[in-house]
Amino acid sequence: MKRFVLVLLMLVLPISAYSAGKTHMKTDGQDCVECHGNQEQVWLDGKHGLMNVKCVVCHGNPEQNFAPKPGLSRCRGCHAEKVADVEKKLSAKERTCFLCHDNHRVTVKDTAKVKSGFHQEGGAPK
Amino acid sequence: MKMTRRQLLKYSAAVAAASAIGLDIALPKELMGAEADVEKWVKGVCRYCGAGCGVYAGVKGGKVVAVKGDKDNWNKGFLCLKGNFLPAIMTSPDRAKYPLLRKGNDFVKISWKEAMDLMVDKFAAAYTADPQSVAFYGSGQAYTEESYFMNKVFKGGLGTNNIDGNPRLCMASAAVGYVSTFGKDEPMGAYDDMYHADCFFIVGSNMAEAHPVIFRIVNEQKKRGAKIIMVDPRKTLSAKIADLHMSFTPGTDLAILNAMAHVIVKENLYSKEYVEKYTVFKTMTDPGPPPKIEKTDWNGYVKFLEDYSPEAAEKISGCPKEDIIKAAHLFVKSKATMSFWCMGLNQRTRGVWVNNMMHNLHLLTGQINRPGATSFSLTGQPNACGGVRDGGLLSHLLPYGRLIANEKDREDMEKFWGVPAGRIQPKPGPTAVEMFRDFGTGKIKAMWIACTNPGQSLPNVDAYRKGMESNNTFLVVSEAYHPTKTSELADLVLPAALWVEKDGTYGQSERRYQYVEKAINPPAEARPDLDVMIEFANKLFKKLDLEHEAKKLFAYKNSEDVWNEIRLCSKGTAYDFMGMTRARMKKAHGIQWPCPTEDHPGTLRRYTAKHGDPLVKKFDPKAEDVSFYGAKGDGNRATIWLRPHKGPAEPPDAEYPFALTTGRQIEHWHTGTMTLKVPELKRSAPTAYVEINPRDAAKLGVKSKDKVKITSRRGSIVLEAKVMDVPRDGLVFVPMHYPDKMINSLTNDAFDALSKQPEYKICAVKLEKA
Repeated sequence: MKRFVLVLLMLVLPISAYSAGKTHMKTDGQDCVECHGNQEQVWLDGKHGLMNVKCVVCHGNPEQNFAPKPGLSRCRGCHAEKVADVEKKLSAKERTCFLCHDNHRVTVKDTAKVKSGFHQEGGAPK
Repeated sequence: MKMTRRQLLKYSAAVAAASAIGLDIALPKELMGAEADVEKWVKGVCRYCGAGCGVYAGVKGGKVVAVKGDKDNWNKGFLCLKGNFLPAIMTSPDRAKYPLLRKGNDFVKISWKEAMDLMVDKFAAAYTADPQSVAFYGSGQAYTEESYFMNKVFKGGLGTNNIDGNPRLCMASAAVGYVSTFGKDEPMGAYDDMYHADCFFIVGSNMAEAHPVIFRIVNEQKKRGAKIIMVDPRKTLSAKIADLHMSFTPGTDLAILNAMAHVIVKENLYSKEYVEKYTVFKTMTDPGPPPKIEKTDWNGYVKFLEDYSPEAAEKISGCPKEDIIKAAHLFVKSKATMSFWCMGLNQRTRGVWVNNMMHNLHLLTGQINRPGATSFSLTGQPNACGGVRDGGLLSHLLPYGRLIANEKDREDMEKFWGVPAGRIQPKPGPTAVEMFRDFGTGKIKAMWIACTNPGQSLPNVDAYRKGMESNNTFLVVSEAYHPTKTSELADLVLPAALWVEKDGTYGQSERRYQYVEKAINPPAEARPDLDVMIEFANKLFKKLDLEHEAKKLFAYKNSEDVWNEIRLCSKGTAYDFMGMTRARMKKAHGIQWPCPTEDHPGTLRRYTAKHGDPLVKKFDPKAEDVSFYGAKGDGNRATIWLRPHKGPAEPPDAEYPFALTTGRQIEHWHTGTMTLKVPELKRSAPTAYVEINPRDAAKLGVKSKDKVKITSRRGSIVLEAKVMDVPRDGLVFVPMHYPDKMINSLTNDAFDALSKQPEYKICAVKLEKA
């Protein structure tokens, strides 16, 4: 078992380091869309696009506090209750909104484990 | 919690491994991107726009480290893009931390005592020489308690009306529009009306960027079938959800609104019953000053509208007549129509007229006084309504609907404040632009500016900056940041507490007053403005040998003492919020006035007894339901105004062929003193640009990212071009936020004769490739 854990450690260590410490390549202040046009189009078609929840809200400033995989704190400003559900109900390894939500369109994925009843209030208020 | 990279890697690996064998070990919350161990959540209101979103500030170690929307408030937990980044504005390196005194081109740190002594000496000397030579310029971002206090010091204590505020630049036309149509200021409706409206008529408002959380709710209503009409010469982000977008030559919307009324009358779509029961008709035969007003009648109105057929309006405005007819039909035929407008109408030399015309459509059709049917002016600042319009921090106003020009109102306030009869001067003081003109000429010798940035935000700003930096006058600037484009011109800079570093009351667009609790201490020696104001007033009056009066007038220990006096001041007026005790406000998620007693829940809709306005029966006992009780002289009826079309003060011409309009981007707020300090917002919207449509760009030979020189009769600026099909032909747009690219060097300081609000939204410019 010990050997298995060590092997696993060797496998996941680079991934963990990648997620936590990644910096964005130098941008010269370009607009995100100049390189990420495809993602932008998906975002534009979704609710966050219509409401102008722009790249920096989730991903930060590429030069200062870049977050390639946004954590829960990036969602809390508008979705505090939903984030509380995630913190309360999901295990540490699953604790992200993107387990069930598509990351740029922010719809519920077909592969979502739980499609209803997870959030106490049943989705965004009308 | 701090962690080295090595520790982080160990931790990550351990957790991953543990998870693999079924153990549930969580990463530290910061590393998971979760809540940063917030010690307490403190309830407040967003620091930015007049929407007034409820927000909780998450505090840890004496710092604001997180925010979350208040789900129990009207915004239902949502914040806009910039609201999400509020914590970063508190810790910006340019926070003003100590009093600073100008020495030549530099500033030197001095003590609060030295600063206060100097300020008192300068104001006392100026006041002694001429009581009308001191002035205060306030803000729709100050707390109500601060604005009320300074109003009392100047109008009641010093006997000068040289006190105005920046809402003169953004809301004065809306305020005069409401007063002249309904008798009292402020909207009668509420955000709740959005949930009942089937048609939204949105004019001169890019709410997707300027009021995003309100835009979110409008969009939700579209999903249930509500129709959206957007009237704007730019096809803004807001127009993305419009069923009908009406573009027009800037400044000609008056003709369009009259033409809609023409269609409604000609096609017999108006509400005869509503018009007969609740309205009167007036016309202005001479603009004055003072304006000459005459009453007229339905026939006079019908005759007046003859000139505004859809065909005639199309000729004037360039807006297709079919669109005008369609808009009129949608407006009148929906179950409930809600209008929104903002600076596109207010910042105009005919701002009051065009506000009246928005109300006309509702009165004419009876689309008013019931859920979903209302005319609603959007506000730019978080306390322009509560502190300045309601509290009367404008040079022609006294608190809570009272007027300087009204002798009885002056007497009321003199008695209430306990000052000698005749203390309040009968002549209104200079308005914002006039005040800075007087400061430039030296007529005003000592001025205090608090919580605002006129060195960037005034129209034709360079002309007024010269006055502000003059060595012959004394300028005090209370600011949370230094330098700003105003504090850099000051003789004395006072460091101010910001947002939740102090407590106080904000009042937003739908008459909702909300208490902002203090959550953290201000940095270094920064102080709440109210503390500084109380100390200054007491010391100034002592210096003027009026200590006995100061003891009576300024005996406040904290903002709650001031708030309790404010409640009393509102008692019996159309604003009555006696029921909003501080204890109640601390618990509530905002309460809407009128709220006359502690057991009253607040008022969602005014001027209708049926829908809960407690003051209808008080002011108009015979009314069955609807009463515009502020308009007693008109029999408690609202006024339908006959307002002719008139264009802007400076339309484009052969020499300056383009119209320039300015406005907001979603990332930034006002002069960017706060939002440009947030790395994410600055990265997303780093600098100003000029938006040109592809047809005009082709004629000029300009591509996106080319440098373009824009010149008006007042100034010139070089900006990068953004070629996009947003503005109509002949119109260019520049955002207003950037201190290094001040577009207000070009804007026009001509103002509305009735509201004195300047015409930021239209001036003539020429463009050339730089």
